[in-house]
Amino acid sequence: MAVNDVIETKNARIWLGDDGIVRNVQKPGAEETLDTAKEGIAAIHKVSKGKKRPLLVDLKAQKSMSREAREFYSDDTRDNEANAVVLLVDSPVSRIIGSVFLGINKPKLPIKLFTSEGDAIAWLKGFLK
Amino acid sequence: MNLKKTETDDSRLQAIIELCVKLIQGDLKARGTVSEYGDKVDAVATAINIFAEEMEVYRKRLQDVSDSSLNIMEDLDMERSRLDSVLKDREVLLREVHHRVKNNLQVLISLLRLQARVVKDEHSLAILKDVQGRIGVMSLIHEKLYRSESLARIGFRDYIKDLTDGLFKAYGAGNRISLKTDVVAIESSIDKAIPVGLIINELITNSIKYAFPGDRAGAIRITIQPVSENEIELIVADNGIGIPMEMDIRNTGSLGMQLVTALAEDQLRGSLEINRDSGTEFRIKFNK
Repeated sequence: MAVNDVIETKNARIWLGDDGIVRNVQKPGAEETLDTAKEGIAAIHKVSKGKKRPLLVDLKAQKSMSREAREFYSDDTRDNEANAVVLLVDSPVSRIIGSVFLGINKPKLPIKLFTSEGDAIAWLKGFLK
Repeated sequence: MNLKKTETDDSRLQAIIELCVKLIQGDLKARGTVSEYGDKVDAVATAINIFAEEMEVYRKRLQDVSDSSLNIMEDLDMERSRLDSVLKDREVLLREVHHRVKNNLQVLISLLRLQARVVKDEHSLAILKDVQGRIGVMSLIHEKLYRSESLARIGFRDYIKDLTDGLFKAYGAGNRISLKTDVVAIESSIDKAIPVGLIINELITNSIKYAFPGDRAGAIRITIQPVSENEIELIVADNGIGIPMEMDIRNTGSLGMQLVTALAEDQLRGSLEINRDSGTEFRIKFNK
């Protein structure tokens, strides 16, 4: 997969893959706050080039996500940057963060937790237009 | 990390236990440390941190609701105090109005009494006395009201006792005519009490004046009792000579009888029945 322009934020590396799927890979030890969440979403909007695309968020290395960040991500009034989201997890911590996000914040758009990147990509491809 | 992971696990678990104790003690701002291992111990710490964050928000919301309830309670207390004060003022005012009406009616009675002193004609004197009696009935109502607790309702029992005491005294009838009253403890509004009082006044006056001619002795009976949930019956009876059978009380020249009929049927919207078997008995039924 070719990597287009990568935007590096405080907590993540974000780019649009040539498969049409946007990647957001959290850096090791990333502590997601409202500010870093906003920075990440702005970057996703930028790489998406005005189009809602499937989004893969790799949480495997994330250390924590604040309540404000979770609320921001699941805010229905926000202009949504994606048409489907995968939260990629493997570590016990990332599983907890991902599960809590899905269980408490209940975002409206299609969203799923995956531990296998291959399965995640296959599911997201169903949302490519 | 200088220590080996296995050596630090115990201290990390100890830290989680201490975190739990703080949260249980109500310190919902306490948070656990999540290491770079990202292992199960960190997962537990992460879960507890998230739980604490949520609890902190719920506690804040609960506090807001509680504060808001307290404010509402304070507002309600203030409003109740204000209404109590308004109610008290109105009570004072209403009591004063009843008092003044009663005094004015008493002045009117005094004026009629003075007028009666210069009237020589017996028939005119009797009319003046009847009028004084009728005004006295209304005056008594207002006196009862301004002395009452409620200012709106009158107990029939006391009212009728005072009314009949006054009538027997005014006509000096107590020696030869006895009075028996059987009045249940019913309270009534002024709208009912005035016509009931006027009816009793007319019928008792009539009995005293006409039912026992000469030195004839006799008895008068007044009964007020409920006959159904909403209906009351007033009975005024005497064992005197009785009203002539040919007299139609709805078509008579007697002002007293005209008043009784009009008050019973028009003002009380009740029914009026007369029995002439032994003496005279008036039965009036009306709604409470």
